Amino acid sequence: MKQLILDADKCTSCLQCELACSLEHEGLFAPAYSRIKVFEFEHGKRNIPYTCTQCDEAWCLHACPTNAIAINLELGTKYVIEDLCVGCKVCTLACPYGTINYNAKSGKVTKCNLCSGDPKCADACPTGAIVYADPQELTV
Amino acid sequence: MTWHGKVLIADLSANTVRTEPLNQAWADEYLGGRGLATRYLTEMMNPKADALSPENVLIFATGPMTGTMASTSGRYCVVTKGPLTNAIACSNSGGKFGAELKYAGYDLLICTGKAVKPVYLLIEDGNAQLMPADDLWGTTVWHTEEFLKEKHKDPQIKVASIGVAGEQGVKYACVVNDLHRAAGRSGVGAVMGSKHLKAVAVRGTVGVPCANPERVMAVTKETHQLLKDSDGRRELTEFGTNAMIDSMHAFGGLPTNNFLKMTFEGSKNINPEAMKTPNENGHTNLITNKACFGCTIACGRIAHIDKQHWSVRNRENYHHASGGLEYETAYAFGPVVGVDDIDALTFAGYLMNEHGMDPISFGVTLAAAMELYELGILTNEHTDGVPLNFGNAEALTIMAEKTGKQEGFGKELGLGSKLLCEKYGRPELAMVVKGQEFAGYDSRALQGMGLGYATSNRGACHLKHDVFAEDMADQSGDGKAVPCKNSQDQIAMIDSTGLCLFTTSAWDTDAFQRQIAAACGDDWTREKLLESGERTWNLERLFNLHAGLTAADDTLPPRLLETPAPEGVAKGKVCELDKMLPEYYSLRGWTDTGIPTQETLSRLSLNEHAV
Amino acid sequence: MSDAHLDSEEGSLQITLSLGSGLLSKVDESYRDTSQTLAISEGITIDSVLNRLGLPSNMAVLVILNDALVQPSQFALQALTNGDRLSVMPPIHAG
Repeated sequence: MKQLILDADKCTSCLQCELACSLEHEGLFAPAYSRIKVFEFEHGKRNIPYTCTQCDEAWCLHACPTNAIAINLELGTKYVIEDLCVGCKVCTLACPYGTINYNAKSGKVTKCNLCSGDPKCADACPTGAIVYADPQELTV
Repeated sequence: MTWHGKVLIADLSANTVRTEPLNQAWADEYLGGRGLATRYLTEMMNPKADALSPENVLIFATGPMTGTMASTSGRYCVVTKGPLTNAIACSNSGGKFGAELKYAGYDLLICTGKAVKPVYLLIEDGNAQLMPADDLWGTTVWHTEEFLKEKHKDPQIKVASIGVAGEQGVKYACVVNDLHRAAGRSGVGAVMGSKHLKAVAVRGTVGVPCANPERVMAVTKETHQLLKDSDGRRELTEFGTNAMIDSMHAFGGLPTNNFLKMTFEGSKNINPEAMKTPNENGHTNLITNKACFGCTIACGRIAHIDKQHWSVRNRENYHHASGGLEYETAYAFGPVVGVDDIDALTFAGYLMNEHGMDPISFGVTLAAAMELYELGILTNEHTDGVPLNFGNAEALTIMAEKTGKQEGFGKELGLGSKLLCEKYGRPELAMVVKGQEFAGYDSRALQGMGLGYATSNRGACHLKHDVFAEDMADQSGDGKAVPCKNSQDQIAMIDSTGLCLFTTSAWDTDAFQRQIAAACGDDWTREKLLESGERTWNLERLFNLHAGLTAADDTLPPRLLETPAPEGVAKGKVCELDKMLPEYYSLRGWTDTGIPTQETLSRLSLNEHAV
Repeated sequence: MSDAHLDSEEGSLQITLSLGSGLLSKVDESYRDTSQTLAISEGITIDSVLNRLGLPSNMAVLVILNDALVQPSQFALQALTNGDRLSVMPPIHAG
């Protein structure tokens, strides 16, 4: 199954991924709402892109009291059903990685859904630090 | 439309902030960024006012493309009257601060007056407040940024600040954002210091609207691809701007020892190859390359200093990684002062960022001091006992630190080359135009560069024109006025977009036009864009004329006009400015004393700004 | 500085070749040095040296021969001679 493969060694922290993500999901350029984040360490020595790993054992899903997080079996994603989400934030506490977050604008949580199979962050990345591929098919 | 339509005005004298609607008519004439800020500046201040007085106005301006997904969309400009030049200053910076300002809901930030006590400006999503900065005053840029992120418990806050150099009026103090990017030139940091404004801290989640996402994305993808496929871009990514140092040395246009020489054998010790080659301790200077916001080029270098090097051996606070050598820093700490110790150069770069100073002006000022020292005019008594010979790497780092902290002879170096050389009776040794120091190109070898330097509205600058191709093709002044004038207008336009000049490695004016039309509307034709650039150039000129500058300021030091090039491809040549300048004035539609004619003013709708 | 290259194009004459850092990854491995002496035969042109280095023929380079700039149109015409100093550099642009 395809997944996002993140390579910190290639990341320059240009944030094209965050721009693409926010445009796709929020309709505007606002990295603050991006589902993928780049973290910078030591004056930019290390730049690390980071987003939901789509855990097999998804604690966000199990924690949700309204069944607002569902599994897309084809893509392996765990996605938020906005109509069911009541913004209680329990999932944000359950997630050990901090990759599901409360969006104050909508009053609901947001997380990466791999753009339903066409992740815009990977498309926007100029250096190959974010690649959408099946790791078992990668020769490297 | 990618504007918020909001200008934040911080009245430092009154200790208040307010929001005003963006003057859309001006945005339509000047595009944004550099041009729009120039229009605001001419409206809000008397050009004759002292640059370090409360009457000066300090503007941080984004462009219409700032914060969008266009490549290099992180740029902002600081526009004010510069204390180094007493002319208009326009300093452009990358990093992440500019985009964050836009994301906080503001297109421009305008600071007026002077705070009674030190303050910093905190901006969060449409809210702004002035906060006391007494505990930050006297501290470094690096401390200030860390302190503000800690205080406000938000590592995502972006900070633009000044160091002690800016507080104490070093003529070439800069505004540093994101630790190692800077609005570097003309002393904009000293203006900030004169206003008692220590820092601007911004957090923005409002974002930038995108009216037509499909079209914007289509153009964005296409222009990203142009950059991806460009050889020039590839070179910037792989080697950074410092790839130039080998070329300029071979060409014989690399200013060395305060422009006494034009080649520097030591350049092989500070070039991109040296940056990535391990030294005898196994230490490699370069760590990685790094992008500014939105940039798919990533020309920035992240480096570190050898922990065993004498400059930092017992100073662990400089053992971390930070911004590394670029061409202009390599030139300003290298050839122009005769130093080729890569760790010393890198350390000097750290000190510039930490204390907030322009490397070019510092390096060239030190070079002038070194020449004065070698002539016996300055002695160890003046220089705190430090021998200021060309090539003394220790003198470079000691003086960088003394200037940053404004101690001892550093106070004199903080004057800049012009005032320093005047003070010691040798004004001709100052390698400046309008008081601002030259970048790393000798205009005896690059004639069009000489014309660009002489006519640049902010004093000597290599980034306001692009005549490189013509200067490579022939070493005379013939035919340089046209490309100089045209590229000045084009770059004034680019600086007004919020995008980076280095994209011209792949983008022509049409490539900019497609992006701006998609974001701002189809009335932005190629012609309208270039006309807005020309209008900006002329308005800057008019500001300077009102400030008291004249055609006599459009000149170069005698070393470039009278002393034949000692070596290189242009050996025996001087800069033919006297030939190029009249042609340039005429092309611009200016009188032979450099004043825009009535006809030119009317054509550019600048009548109200007539001298 | 590396020793004179001995290869099939070796000749009795020697020139000094300087290469810009930016070109090192683009020339053939045996020439990856910023400064080297090169053995050439009489009458060899700049074009043939660039070719021998392995630089793509359409690549823009700045060529300086004994402190004089050589325009690209002259690359195929300009012959080299013993003791020449040849610099091949990346083109110059804003930095």
